[in-house]
Amino acid sequence: MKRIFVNEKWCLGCHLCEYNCAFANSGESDMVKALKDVKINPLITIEQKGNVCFAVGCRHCKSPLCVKGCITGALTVQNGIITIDRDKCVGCYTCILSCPYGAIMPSEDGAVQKCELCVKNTCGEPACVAGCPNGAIVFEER
Amino acid sequence: MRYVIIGNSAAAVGCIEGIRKLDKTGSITVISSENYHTYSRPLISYLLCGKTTEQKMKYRPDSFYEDNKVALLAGKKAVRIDKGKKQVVLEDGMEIPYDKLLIATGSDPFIPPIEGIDTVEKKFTFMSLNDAKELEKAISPKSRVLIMGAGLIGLKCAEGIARKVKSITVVDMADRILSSILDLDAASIVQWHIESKGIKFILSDSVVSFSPGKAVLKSGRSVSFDILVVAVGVRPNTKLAIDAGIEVARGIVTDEHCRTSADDIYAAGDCSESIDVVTGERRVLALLPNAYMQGECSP
Repeated sequence: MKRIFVNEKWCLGCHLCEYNCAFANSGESDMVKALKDVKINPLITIEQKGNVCFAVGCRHCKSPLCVKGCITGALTVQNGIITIDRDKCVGCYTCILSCPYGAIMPSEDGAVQKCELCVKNTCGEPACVAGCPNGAIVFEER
Repeated sequence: MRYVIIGNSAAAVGCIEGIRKLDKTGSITVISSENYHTYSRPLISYLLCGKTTEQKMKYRPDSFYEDNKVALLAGKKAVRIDKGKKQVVLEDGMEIPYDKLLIATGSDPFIPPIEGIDTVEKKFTFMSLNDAKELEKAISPKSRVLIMGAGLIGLKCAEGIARKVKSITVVDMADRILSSILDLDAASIVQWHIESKGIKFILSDSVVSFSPGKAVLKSGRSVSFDILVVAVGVRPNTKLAIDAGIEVARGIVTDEHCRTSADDIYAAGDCSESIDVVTGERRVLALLPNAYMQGECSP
C-alpha cells in the first residue's frame, strides 16, 4: 500500500502542506474562500526547531495503537487506511493519547480528526504531497 | 482448532481479531451473559446524556460476528470450566468443548456491606448497558441522586445524568476526586469544573448507614436522596477460574502471553492481572485499550 513519507532534509518549512491539507478538506472549491481569515486546523503539521523541520502526519501504522485503543470502534483500518467514523466518535481522546506520533488531533466539532490520505475528499491523491514545492513529502510504496 | 471465549467486550473482540489474523478457519464461539451485540461499556454515560445511541454504541459493525465466522451464544452464562474434559459448561447444561479458551469475564461492581444498604429501594450500579437503562427509567427531573464514589465510574455517571435530575451529591472517602489518577492540585481543578455544573461533593467522608431516603455519614452529617448509585469500585470476575483451580490473586494471574496457570486457558481484560511494565509489579489495570491488546495477544 502507498503511504506518505517525508524527507526531512528536503523540507523548507514553508507550511504549504498544512494549507493544502486544510483546503482539500474544507469542501470549498476556491482556496481563497476556504482559507481567508480562517485559523486552519490541518491534518498534517510541520514540526520545527532551529534548522530542522519536517511534516508529521498519520503513518497508517500496520499495528495501530489508536485503532486498538479506540473505545467506540470509530477508528478502523479500511484497505490499509486508518479511518475515522466521526459520527461514532465521542471525543474521548484515547487515540490522541495512544498515538506515538501525535498525528491525531481534536477538531472543532468534538470528534477527533486525522489524515485519511485524501480518500474522502475530491483530491484523489494526498494534497500535501501534490502541493509540496520541494518533493519533501512523497506518496509511495516502500 | 476450536476457540472458545467467555465474555463479549473489548478483550473478546481483540481476541477474535487476533485469531483471525493467524487462523482464518478455526471455529470461534463467544459465550456472553448479556443479550447484546458487542457494545462499548464506557459509552453508557454518553448514551444517558444523549451523545450517542444504542446503535452507534456498538463496538463493532452489525456484521462483525458473521464477517469473522463467530458463533455468538448471547444471553448464555458459563457456570463451569472443566479443564480435564476441556469444555465449558453453561447454565442450561450445554457443554462447549475447546482447544483454546479465553476467560474475558470482566469485572462487577462492588457493593460495600453498609448498614441498611439492602433496604434502599432505588439502588443502581453503573457498569453495563442494562444498568444505564434501569437508571434512566428511574430518574426524573425531581430526583435527588446520591453517588457513592468519586472515581471514573461515579463521575461518568454524574456527567451522564446531570441535566436530567434535580441534584447530584457525590460522596468519597478520599480527600480528592479521581484519587487513583489525580493528585490534589489536579483533582481540585477538575472538581471546580464539575462543581460549576451544579454537582456537589462531600470528600473525606463515607456513608455508615442508610435509613429510608437518607444516608448518614461518618462525620455525622446526613444526605437525603431518592436514588442511590454505588460506584465505589469493581471486583474482577474470577469465580470460574477459582472453581477450576486456576491461580487467582486479585485477578486471574497471567504471564506476558496472557496465559493462566492452566494449559490452553488464557485470561484478558478486567478479570485478569499481569505485570505492569511501568512499575514491574502485578496488578489489574482495567482500561479498555489494555483489554483489547491483552485479548489480541492471547491467541
